[in-house]
Amino acid sequence: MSADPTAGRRVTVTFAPPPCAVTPGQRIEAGQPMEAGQSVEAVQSLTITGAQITVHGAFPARSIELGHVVWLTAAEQSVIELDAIRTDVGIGAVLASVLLPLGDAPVYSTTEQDRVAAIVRGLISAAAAERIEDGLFAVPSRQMVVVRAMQIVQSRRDDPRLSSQSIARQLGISVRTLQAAFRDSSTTVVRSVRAIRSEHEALSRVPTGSLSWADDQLRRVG
Amino acid sequence: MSRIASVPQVVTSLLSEVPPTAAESTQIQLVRSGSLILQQGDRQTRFGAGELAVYDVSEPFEFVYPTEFSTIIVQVPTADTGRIGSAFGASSTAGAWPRSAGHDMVRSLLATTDAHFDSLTANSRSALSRAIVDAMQLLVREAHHEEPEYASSRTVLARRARSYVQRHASDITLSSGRVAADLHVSVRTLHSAFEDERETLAQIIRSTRIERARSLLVTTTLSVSLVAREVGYADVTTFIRVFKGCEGVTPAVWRRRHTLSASGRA
Repeated sequence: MSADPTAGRRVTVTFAPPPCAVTPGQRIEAGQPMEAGQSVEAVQSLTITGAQITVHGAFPARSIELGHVVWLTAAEQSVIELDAIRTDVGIGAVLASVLLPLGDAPVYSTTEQDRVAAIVRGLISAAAAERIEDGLFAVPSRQMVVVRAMQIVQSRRDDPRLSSQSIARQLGISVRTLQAAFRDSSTTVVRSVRAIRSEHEALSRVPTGSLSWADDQLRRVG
Repeated sequence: MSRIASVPQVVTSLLSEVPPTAAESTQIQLVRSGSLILQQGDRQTRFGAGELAVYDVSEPFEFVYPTEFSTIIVQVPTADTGRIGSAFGASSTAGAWPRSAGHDMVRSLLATTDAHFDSLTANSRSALSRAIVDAMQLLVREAHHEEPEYASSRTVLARRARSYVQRHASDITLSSGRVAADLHVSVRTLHSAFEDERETLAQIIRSTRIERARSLLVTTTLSVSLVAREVGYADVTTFIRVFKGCEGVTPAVWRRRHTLSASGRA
């Protein structure tokens, strides 16, 4: 019996004090805080272990739970768990800025949580890809294939011609190699494509109806 | 996405552009400094630094920039976000605007895209574009202020069951039968609700328990048998077997690895 790699997980985001030492040479970006307490400069590092995301920085420890739409393939998970994510550059900075306001946010509705979680999931997946492009860690080639393939799946989630063949072609590998890599992550290409699409479809539907709330707010602001 | 500063007039195009002819689009501006006034229809709204302006570009609009300013603009096809109608948004740093997930997300994403754009790879940029579109959808949905009607009864039942499992994961008597009985449906109906889901109810119960166990193993010094009890396993041997099935190693080994790597990093 093995865990379904595309199984959803409820994610806990914990805001913790900084770890004993900041990664050597890490530059804390001064930036332009848009709102008090929301600047990325307060975040020093980000660690992701399973469904536990820890944001280390200079703020009081607290913890929030996100919806269940967070899942990664085993390959992406391994690459992400290799080391803390830098928050001064790249997608780590984006991820930190998205996570930070969550800490003192009001309790979101379940649908909102799911949407936030799906966005966070996409960014974590991209962080895995960024880590591979950096080339700072030795990552098994099968994991590299899955991580890259998942980026293609996500960027072409609306493309009806998306297939194992087209993904393999884009990666310059054989379909057999692609499928073997996914098998190594105990999932399949088809299953992962379906999971990404169903997540996107479920969350992208916008109900039709009145704009009462919007008009209300406009009156208040204007 | 574009970055515009009034003096000197520099427009930097960052993410891939929507053709200007795409009338069915929504624009979002995050004011970095200065202020701007949006006129659309018979409405006039003023936006200050840190505020977010959201408007439909298919309706005629005009911007007035009374002072030196700098702003970040993103344009997304309405087909991707849903219709928002006329100008509706501003979010205030003064806190008058209610905090919402969509506002927080869009604002954070735009601000960091702006600050860290140069350090992003091509793939990260496209991931970021998707995140912005998704966050805008969230914003638009909030504007409609309605619970989505798309949820089928199956989806609703699956969601209620998930939430039930979350609340009762540590209960050793938790089973599909218990969930069905407490949600007043037959076991058969309950299982059919999970046909379209990524995992079965049994898998959800198991993964919820294992997830919780992982958290306890890292954050506490409870013994493995206490952790087993805590996450709803009466029998520690079953717990170890299930845990090993999911994680590939026993809870004790897993804990050693994860606590070691954490202190190794510090």
